[in-house]
Amino acid sequence: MEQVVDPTLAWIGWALVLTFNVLLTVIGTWLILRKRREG
Amino acid sequence: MSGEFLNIPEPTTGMMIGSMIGTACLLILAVALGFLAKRRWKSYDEFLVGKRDFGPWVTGFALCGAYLSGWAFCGSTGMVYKIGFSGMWFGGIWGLVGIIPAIWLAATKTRDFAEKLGATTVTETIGRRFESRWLQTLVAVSMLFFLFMYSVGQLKAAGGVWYAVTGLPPFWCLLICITIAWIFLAIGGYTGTQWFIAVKGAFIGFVGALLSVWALIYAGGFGKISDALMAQKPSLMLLIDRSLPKVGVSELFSTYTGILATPIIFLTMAIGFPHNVSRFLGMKKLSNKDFATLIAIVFVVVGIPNMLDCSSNGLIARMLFGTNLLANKQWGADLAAPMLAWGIGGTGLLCLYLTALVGAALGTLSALVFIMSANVSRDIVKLWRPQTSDRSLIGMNYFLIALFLFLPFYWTLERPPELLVSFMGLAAMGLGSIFVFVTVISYYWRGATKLGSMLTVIFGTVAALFGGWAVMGRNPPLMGLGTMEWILISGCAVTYFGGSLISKAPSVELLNLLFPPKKAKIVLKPGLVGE
Repeated sequence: MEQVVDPTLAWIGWALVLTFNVLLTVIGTWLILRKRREG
Repeated sequence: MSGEFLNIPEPTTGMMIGSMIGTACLLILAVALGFLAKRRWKSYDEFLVGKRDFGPWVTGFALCGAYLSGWAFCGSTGMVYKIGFSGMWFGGIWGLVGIIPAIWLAATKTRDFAEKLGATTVTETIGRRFESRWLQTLVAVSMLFFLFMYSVGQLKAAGGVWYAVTGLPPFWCLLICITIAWIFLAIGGYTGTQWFIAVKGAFIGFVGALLSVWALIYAGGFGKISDALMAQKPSLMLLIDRSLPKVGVSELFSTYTGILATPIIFLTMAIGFPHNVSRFLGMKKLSNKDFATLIAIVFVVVGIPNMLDCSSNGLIARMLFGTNLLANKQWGADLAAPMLAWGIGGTGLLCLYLTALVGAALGTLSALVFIMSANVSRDIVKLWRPQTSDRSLIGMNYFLIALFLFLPFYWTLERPPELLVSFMGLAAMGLGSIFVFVTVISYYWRGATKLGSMLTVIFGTVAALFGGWAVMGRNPPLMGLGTMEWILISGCAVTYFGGSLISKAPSVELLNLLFPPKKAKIVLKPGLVGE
């Protein structure tokens, strides 16, 4: 069966995963730094 | 070849001279760093781990250098060029965050455990963490086996691209490279290696980001890329391409089992790779500011090129070259990244890229070779024959470094045995799956035991060998690479936790040293003060 291709979907998927990763990095680092400060 | 797209250029004198000058500069720098580092070690222990005083900048760039291998820098772009967006968009972007948890979870703990245990290698840290010489030996043998297989492929892309671009046979270039690598590894020890990998990491991070951003601007942005590829072959823009085979490597792009396995592969490789974790052995105690600096460096230097290498770079190469690169039967898609550099920036950017690619291959190979030689000298010979003199051990390291550099060189020029080729593909996944548990989870879980770790090493090694045959060696493949990753990671989890739960943990004294009990908070009631 022929697959329908929507390139917008590709970039939206890409941008969503990218945003999630950036947020994860920032929030994760912030949490770890807070924990380190508390000793 | 199609005339509407660019073709592979004939090598010119400019390409030859530019690439030779770039590579020569890189190698001269490597030797200089090796000699500078010579002053910083006086004993065998310092040869292996330096003075444990590297700050966040050197450690951060070195981690980037160890992580950004020839595959990350070149192979990933080739894969997207050939197959399209499906699969790689997900795995690639997870690569961005993949390396950050390695810092979160392993940086401080690796340093602290190694220092408390007086260990100079990751393997020795594991052995002493579990009070087991047998575990240390088993880990050394398994690590040696996997790293050896992984190292064989390191020079291949660089050698191939060197030949395709300059027209010069790669023999002399690679021979000079490994000779120089021997000099800085043997003379500079851990410090020289750390410095060289750091410089290389910063350099390839810069070149990778330059190429990626330049290519995006040149292509006219994401919309223009989509339009060009939709006109060429719409399936290149699919998030998941169900027309590709569901077994073998392409399972990563054609099924959800495969696509969801890609972040696990990237994550476990980044956290579990001994050559990544080893970068923290020589680190100083980090303040909070240092820790944040380390994260920021790695995020910028690895994140941007890695993310775009795995997505837009390959698509832009396809946009410019069509399928013309695939017509080159010998190097094919491996040429996507260097040809992209040539297509958008001419000879200058191509020479810069080629220099960075040689650096990427040489840097990662150096990190692997240094660990492999220490696996034999420190984790086997010194462990079982402690009276061996430092002088003999250092001499042995010199020989082993030469041997472990020569074998990948030989198999870059001569076709490696089929069996080795099959297993090479699974080496990275096997290493990641085993050591994410045996090394990193063991930093946090008091209940981990040597039995659990031994079973994990044995299972992971056997499963990776089976996977090499089932996914890459057998024709047709028995299963997909994504399914194999799930088998590897879940099997390692079961053996690690299961084995640990049914056996006895190390001594309480050791556990209290490594996992100090939390101090109870003392609250003074106002009425008690002064009594």
